[in-house]
Amino acid sequence: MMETALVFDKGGEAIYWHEPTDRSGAHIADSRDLWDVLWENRDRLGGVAHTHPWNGEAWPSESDLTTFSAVERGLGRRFLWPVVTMSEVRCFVRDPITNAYVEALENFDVNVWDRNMEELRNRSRLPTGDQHG
Amino acid sequence: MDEMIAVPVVQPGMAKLTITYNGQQGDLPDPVSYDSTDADIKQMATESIRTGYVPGIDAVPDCDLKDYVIDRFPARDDVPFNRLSARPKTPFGFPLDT
Repeated sequence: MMETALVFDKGGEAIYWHEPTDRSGAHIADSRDLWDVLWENRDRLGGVAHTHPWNGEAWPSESDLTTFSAVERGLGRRFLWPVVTMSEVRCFVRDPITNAYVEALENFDVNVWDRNMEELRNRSRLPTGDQHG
Repeated sequence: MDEMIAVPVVQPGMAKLTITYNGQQGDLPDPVSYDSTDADIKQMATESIRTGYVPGIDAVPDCDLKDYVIDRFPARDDVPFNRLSARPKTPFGFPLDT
């Protein structure tokens, strides 16, 4: 199992599958390449989903939360941050009042979203190279 | 006509610092030492954004570059000067060192 990330647009469609060769089952390292994708697609960016590739509840780590916050400060707006385990998906957004990340519901086309979440799980099962969606 | 002599904007040992913040991107007007620490570079960038000193980035008085990283790009043939970039970090998961 390998942690994997998906950059998606405002409609939930895949922009970029982030599968660096140095990722592990518990960590995706900082990546200039990922940042370049986020910056280049900032006008259509909806968020970034990533896996915690095991069964159980999907909650962000402390490192996840500081990444969410840093990227939003860099790009100047809020995004949706789904955390995906093999058995659950929870989406998080920043509360603009408290600045805490709280659970939120996505409202994407269910067929598109469910397909992408399953593909994200599948890509977490086998290591592959980076690919644009 | 006198021969024109190209004068490099960024001297050896110095670097152009590009900052991305609040959806905007700009270069610090003054070169900075390429060997500056990440902490020093982030402090310079923070103060510059807070005061509106970076062309292309509107002043943000409460600018916070916590959880930013500094990328370093040495001079090369097609870009003959050092470059630094201050941008948000992007790791996910559970770092092994925490």
